[in-house]
Amino acid sequence: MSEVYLDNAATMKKHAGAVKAEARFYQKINANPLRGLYKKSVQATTGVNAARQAVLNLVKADKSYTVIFSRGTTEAINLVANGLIRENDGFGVVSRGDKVVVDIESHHSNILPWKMHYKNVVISDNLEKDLKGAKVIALTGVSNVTGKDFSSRIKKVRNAYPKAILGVDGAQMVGHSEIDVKRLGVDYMAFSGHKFGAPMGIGGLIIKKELAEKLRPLNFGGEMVEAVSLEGEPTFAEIPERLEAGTLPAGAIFGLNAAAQEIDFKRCDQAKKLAKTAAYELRKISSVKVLAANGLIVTFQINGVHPHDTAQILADEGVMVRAGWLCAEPYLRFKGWGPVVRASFSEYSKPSDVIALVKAVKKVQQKMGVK
Amino acid sequence: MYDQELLERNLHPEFRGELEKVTPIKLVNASCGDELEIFLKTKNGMIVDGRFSGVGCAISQVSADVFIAAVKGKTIEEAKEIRDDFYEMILGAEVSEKVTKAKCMQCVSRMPARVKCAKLAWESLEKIA
Repeated sequence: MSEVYLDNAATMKKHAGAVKAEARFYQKINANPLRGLYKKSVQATTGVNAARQAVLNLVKADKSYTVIFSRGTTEAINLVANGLIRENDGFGVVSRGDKVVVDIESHHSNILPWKMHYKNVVISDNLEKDLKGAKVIALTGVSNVTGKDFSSRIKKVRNAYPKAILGVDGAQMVGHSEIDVKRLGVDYMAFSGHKFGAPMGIGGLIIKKELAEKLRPLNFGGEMVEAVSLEGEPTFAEIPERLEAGTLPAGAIFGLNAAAQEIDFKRCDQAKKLAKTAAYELRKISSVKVLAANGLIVTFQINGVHPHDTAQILADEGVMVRAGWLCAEPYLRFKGWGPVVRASFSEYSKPSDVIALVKAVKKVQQKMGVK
Repeated sequence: MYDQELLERNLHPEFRGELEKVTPIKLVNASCGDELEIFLKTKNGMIVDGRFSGVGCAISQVSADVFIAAVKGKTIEEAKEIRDDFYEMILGAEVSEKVTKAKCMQCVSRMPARVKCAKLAWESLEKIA
């Protein structure tokens, strides 16, 4: 049975060059970046900084931005949410009582970090009304449920609220289409490498240096301090290192750099056409309700069949999709949809994947006795 | 991977329905939206009849159907022993004599993410009045 992978929004098929670059790092270099004085450590440091630049180039960021590496989008948003709180330690710019607004389309990763740290968090289905007085606005770049791209909404919000801290969950956005963080006007954008073909375990924050300067580190320890004495306060390192305590996953970072080079937006656009075709073909099946089809994502349900049954039978047919709440329960409840099935494409998807999906969905219909 | 009998029972459940004068035991699997109401009629510690209603995936609903098939006519203590064997079966153990009526659920042992759907109905034994 052939394998058809249509869960790219969860994690994208990896670029061959990215996997190779990660392996080569451990085979040929394998030294801690930043501190060692020997050649291999210098190579590691140079590679890490090159990857930072590659990410900045990918989103057309200028010199006012930097990249803080993290394990991925989730950790990056946690870093911002926690780091922005003003305490008596010299970090932060907002108080716990300040208004934070996230959009209803948010993934749980763009809701929970705010909910856990702030007292006044609005999950908004009406931004125009709710944004007044917001100190922090954390928006979705591209919905992981509907695939909808919110670039124009982000720009609009920036223009209307020039003083608020404006951030974007870019997990489904970075590496899937050409974006320009300057034009979007965002203060930060969180991303995950593995969503665009880099290894798992690496992502970060593309962030205005000015804002990064004020963030409290999520972790304290090695590589993020200049001096630690027996008494008195430590002297912290400069950004970005101050916000990246501990040894960085350098192999993954080398892979990230390779992935950023290997992304092909033209192929990505072709994949979006494939997703459209899939939606068109699925709509022809009587029991299928296509709920959303934008970008690389098609979300649907089969009448009378629980999405987990659909996904299970699709899996038996060799077609891998995602089913359930998609880590966006508030949005699926708001829409009145409940759990759904999501097929998500990548630049490696093929027309035969669409044929396999449609055939397998018909099989679900038959096995579950629905019409 | 779904057992043929499981698919068949999903379309034609044996015990779907309600029992009059029996307070249903409500069970919810919040993470996937499965909901069950289990009606168990007991007399002198014996489960004399049962029905179920609810919405959810085939695993949760068929499991409720075979749960009632397996425990009807048994004492609550016996039912709990059947449940223990059932839990072992869906984690990969052989089908014991006690759970033959629920053997179509053995396929769950190859679907680790679905174990909690399969267990839902059986949790009613802990809530029985």
